[in-house]
Amino acid sequence: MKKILIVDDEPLTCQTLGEFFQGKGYEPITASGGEEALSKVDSEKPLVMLLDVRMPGMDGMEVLARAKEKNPSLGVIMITGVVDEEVIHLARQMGADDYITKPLDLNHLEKNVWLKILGLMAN
Amino acid sequence: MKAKEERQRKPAAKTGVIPRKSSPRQNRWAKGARGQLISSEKLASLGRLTAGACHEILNPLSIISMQAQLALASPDLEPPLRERFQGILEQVQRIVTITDQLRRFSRTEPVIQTNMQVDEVIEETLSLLGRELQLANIHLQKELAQGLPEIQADRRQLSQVFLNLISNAKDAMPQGGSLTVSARVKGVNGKKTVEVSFSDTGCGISRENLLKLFEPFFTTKPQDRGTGLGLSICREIVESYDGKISVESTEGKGSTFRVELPVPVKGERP
Repeated sequence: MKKILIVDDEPLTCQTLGEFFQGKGYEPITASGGEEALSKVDSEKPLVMLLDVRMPGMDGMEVLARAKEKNPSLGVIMITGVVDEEVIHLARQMGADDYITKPLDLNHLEKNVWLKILGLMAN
Repeated sequence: MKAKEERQRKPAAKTGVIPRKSSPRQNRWAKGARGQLISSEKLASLGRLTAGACHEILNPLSIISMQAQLALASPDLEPPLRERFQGILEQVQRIVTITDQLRRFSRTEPVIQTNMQVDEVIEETLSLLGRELQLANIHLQKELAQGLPEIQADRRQLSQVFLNLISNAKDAMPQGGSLTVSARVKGVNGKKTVEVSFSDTGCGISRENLLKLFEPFFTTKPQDRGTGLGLSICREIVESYDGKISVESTEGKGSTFRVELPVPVKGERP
């Protein structure tokens, strides 16, 4: 099953992305914060995580670092409001596969998730 | 008045330094400098506020966009509703363009002024837009004087100014035309400036619109083409280098935008 973890503090973002990915045949799970996300990386073993950079409490960068420690092969796509070259560079260094800016283009996002899953399957 | 003078004298008694009475000119200068400081602080806070607000706008905007995309993905959607959702997506894109421009306008990142050749920046910018001009049937003519003196500017910012002016010229010539980009040295009151001008053979600007042209959010372009911030950003940037931006235009014949940038006196640092 194509299990993906959606991490965003906006419940409606999680809900809408969940609905979209479910319709595309994925198994989406959601988390509204960093701690919950890390716990679901352990318990649900998703293939890919969609991770919002800007969240209250533990921000996306910290979640990225800690999730990669738990599962280095986890695919991570960062979601950001604005293009900040420094943040993008740092996220890539920390193991993020890609980044996507808001407002999200759902088809573009799904293509990236699918390509990441294909890459993981090939390995 | 006497009480005020007393207050001014008090520190002198403590330090032994007799305060000199400020001249009206010094007072005016101090008042102006203080005003400028307050104004730049206000602008900096406004910039931070705007950048934060733009970021916050993108979250709900992303949700609106996703909801519309989901609705459009439904095969049962009736055509009139489909058009409405497409309209929503078009307007979302418009807001994104406005927030992008606002973020650029309010950018608080440090400006790095260095010495540079203006003609190099012009060539770099034209290399980005050359193909677009060609596709729009616009004949490009360059008249760049040899051996131009260096000016001081932030390369990224200056390129943004030129990019805006060239794009505007292109938009003013939807049926094609001619764009002349020239650069020369000018001497004004013993001070040298490099003058860069962009002359198009486009639709021109009415006298009424000329007056408002550099005001933020003023645009003559269709709603989906311009935010009206481009020229006000250009003016902001050019004036931050103690330069000037001006325009001459004749309706139906074309426009010329001139950017004048001061040439620093030798030994002067940015």
